[in-house]
Amino acid sequence: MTRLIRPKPEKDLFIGWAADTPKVDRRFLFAAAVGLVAGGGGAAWALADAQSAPGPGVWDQGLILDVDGYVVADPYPLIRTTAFGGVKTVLLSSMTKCGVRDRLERLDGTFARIRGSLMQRGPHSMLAVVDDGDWLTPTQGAAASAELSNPQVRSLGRATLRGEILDTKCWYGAMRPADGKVHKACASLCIRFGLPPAMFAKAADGEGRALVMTTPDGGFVTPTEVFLAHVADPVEVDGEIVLVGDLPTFRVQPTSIRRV
Amino acid sequence: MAHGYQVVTWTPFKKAYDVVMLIAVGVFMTIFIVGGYMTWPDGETLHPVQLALRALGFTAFTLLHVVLAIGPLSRMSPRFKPLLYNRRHMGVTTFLLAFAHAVLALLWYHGFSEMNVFVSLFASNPNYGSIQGFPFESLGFVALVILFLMAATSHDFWNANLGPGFWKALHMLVYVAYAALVAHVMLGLAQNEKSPLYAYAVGGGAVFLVALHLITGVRECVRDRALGAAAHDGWIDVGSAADIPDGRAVIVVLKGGERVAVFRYDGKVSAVSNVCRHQAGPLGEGCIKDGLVTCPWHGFQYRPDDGRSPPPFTERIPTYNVKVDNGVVFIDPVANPAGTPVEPAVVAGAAA
Repeated sequence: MTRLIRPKPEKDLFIGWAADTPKVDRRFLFAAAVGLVAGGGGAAWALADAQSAPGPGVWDQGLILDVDGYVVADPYPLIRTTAFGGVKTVLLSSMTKCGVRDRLERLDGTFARIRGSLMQRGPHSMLAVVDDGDWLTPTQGAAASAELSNPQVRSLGRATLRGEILDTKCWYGAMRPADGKVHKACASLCIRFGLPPAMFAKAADGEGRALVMTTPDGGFVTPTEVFLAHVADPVEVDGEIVLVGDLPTFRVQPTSIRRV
Repeated sequence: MAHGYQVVTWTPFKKAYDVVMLIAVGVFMTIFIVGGYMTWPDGETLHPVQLALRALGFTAFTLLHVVLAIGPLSRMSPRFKPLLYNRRHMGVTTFLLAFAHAVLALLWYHGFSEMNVFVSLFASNPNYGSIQGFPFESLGFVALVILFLMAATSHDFWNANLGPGFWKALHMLVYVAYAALVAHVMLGLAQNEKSPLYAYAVGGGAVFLVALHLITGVRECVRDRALGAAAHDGWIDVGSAADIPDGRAVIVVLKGGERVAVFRYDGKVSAVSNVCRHQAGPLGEGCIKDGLVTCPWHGFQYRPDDGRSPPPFTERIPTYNVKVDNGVVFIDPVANPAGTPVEPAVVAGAAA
């Protein structure tokens, strides 16, 4: 069976390389161009407007601070300081996705001055230390030295939290947003190379809180492949919420993490 | 003009096409970035890098929808055909935007650590066995490789050297890239965001494109069955020569699906393959311009009596023997080798 097709004869046929475009095509293409630009603009606005709140974390890398306080290397590098009014725990990181534990050990348990830029998200703070050699200087103890070197450790009880494991640096302000599957690879890298992991869960008031994760005895959580595979996934974890000074931590058995 | 890869001049149409496209891209990205900043209070907006990353990704993905819609739309209405002419520029722009998105994502999410960025890309999320947890980044990588191959071979140099068949097959991979990108966005950002708009937008875009392609396909099938042509002593009856508009053609669909464009021009009738050597455009929907069969897609030309492009071009298409008997046109369904001269049939009483 053969068939016959009769193309609709057009008065003016468009030929791309010809100098002139038929009038009927010019009119249509003008309308199409306006539609494309206007439609694209409207779509862009709708897509931008629907994005979830990325959170209030900030990191001003241009503002370099010298922070005096008591330096601790375990379970995660931090400095307790009165530099921001009252005793405050400030976690420490490098400028990249790596921790500074190895570089801090020589002054672990001493008073020192650390130079870096501050990340802040609500009550949470982290100092990204500068890369040059004079970022860490030994100092004498401050007035509130006992409170800095021996913080009160207070258990708030056991809890089962449902949320996700994320890295503190990004969540404190290095990235916005810093959670969810899109951020999984980044969070995994940060935790793999020594940045403190945190359990992020929403409380009854809807406010999200990130608790620094430690082992049941308050130690460093080894970033095993099994642990890293759970990062940024929806998980449920049993543990004990413990305040170390002003730093909320979540003591967990890493093998007890369940994907939900 | 024909299927060479000589420099093609920039016509006013081509310039206008690219200007409009770049304006649309600029408007889309600007509004997305400004809108992203205005959505949340100062200090709580997306990080500028992440906002730019999303703007690039969304623009590329939206532009790919436009690229994929042009084909079926131009089959539905000849008004869309001009958009086909410079579509490759749109495709290359899509790749460049996607590439910028990928580079930024690679640096931002996988860089700044002691691990190789590509190792991180494929190994940071090991949940390859899970649909919900599947590493969406790898799907984006697959799509980017395909878009790169298409952009890199978009020039007619590659069409000429790879051969139209292989080139066309390679560029049909765009549908694989599109499917990978749908999954990339659905398993990535759409899963991450609280608003269902992203899932609806991606799903809606996919349904739109699939529907457009299906409708076009069905219309083509229905059109193919619209009229029958009877066989007559081995010749195919194409109908009255008077029913073929001057300078235009009718298309005969042979038994095996092969299509022949039968043109009437200057009181004569010639028949050639309906398939343009360039990108398989439908020559029968074109016209005779300057005495040459002219493809409606990109303006490639062939002489109607021997199927050869005029010098210096060298492309050839098959020709068919043709005769006119009592005003009725007949063609021999057996194709002559490409470029074979065939004496045009003279339409009795027509002015030459």
